[in-house]
Amino acid sequence: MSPDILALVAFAGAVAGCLGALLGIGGGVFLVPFLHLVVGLPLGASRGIGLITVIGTSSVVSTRAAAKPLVNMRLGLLLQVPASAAALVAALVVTRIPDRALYVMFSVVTAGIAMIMLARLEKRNVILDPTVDPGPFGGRFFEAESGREVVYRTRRLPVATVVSLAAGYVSGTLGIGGGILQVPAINTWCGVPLRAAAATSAVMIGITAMASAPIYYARGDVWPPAAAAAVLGVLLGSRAGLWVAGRARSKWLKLLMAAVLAGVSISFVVKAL
Amino acid sequence: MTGTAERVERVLSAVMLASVRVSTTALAAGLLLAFVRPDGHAAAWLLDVGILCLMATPLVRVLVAAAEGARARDRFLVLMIAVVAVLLALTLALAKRA
Repeated sequence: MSPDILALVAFAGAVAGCLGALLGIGGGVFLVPFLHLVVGLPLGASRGIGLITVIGTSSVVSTRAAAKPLVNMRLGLLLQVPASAAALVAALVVTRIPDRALYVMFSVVTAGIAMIMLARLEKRNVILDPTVDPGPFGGRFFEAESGREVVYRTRRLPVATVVSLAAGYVSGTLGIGGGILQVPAINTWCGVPLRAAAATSAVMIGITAMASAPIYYARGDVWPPAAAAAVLGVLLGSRAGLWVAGRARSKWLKLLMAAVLAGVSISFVVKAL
Repeated sequence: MTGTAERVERVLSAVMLASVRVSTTALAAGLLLAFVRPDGHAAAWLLDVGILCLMATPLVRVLVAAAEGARARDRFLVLMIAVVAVLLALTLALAKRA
């Protein structure tokens, strides 16, 4: 690969890493279509590199002490079981699935979630009384917007479990990380505030990607120079994304997420045609 | 028990950070070397080391979570981590056969 192409891949990685860390969705959702449609890499290699960059974003978030109070490990690991199992199965069966069917299905799901997020822009999911018991899968954190410690409770765990199963499957088949389904779903349907959902998902997506990335690597679907350029870009972009995430308002993050989901939905429709 | 788990958690967090740094350094050096000496084996080796180190980071994160669970005496957390660890071990075993 020429230095120009690798520089382009690194730049795309930086943009993907920034948005991925900002929204807790990993960044693969931007990078995989870019590598396949713009750079011209085979879809398998694009997916393999996408998974490696998802691990990169997740690793940066996991090593940041600032993100730790927002990460809900009990909820995250409960949802990690179906996500990892589905990602493993997906990596094994991905070669037998018609891509077109997946693109159409994914386009419908992302468009639906974007609309739900837009309908709930003002909903913050937090309880301002810090003495309230968050329950076994809730949490508490300092919220800059209200300037105090807030509490949240997690509802509808079966919904979160089913979504995690789907997220793991999507991560393993498309190489884009499951956060794009998980973050809006656990924010909108399960009552987890967006910042906590994004931080928890950012840790989870790395483990979910790990459940399928070694299989892609063993198949030769991780092209080392392109993967290195993408990962280096992602690592830089992720740090920028985390800096912005600590200062941005939840409403604007939701709008950005809805715009990203709409863009992804359209790109998959275009790919399916 | 709690003190030991706390120490283990600190050590694992440091290992995780080191893993990301080693990975970044190896990937940057490998990419640079690939431009300077495109036909050399060192570049390919460094790139592989970087990718493998990065892939190992989530495994270390799972171990950190296990230490957190042990420190908090949270049996549910430890059980979930055990299941996830089994799934990741299965992935590695299947990748080895692929």
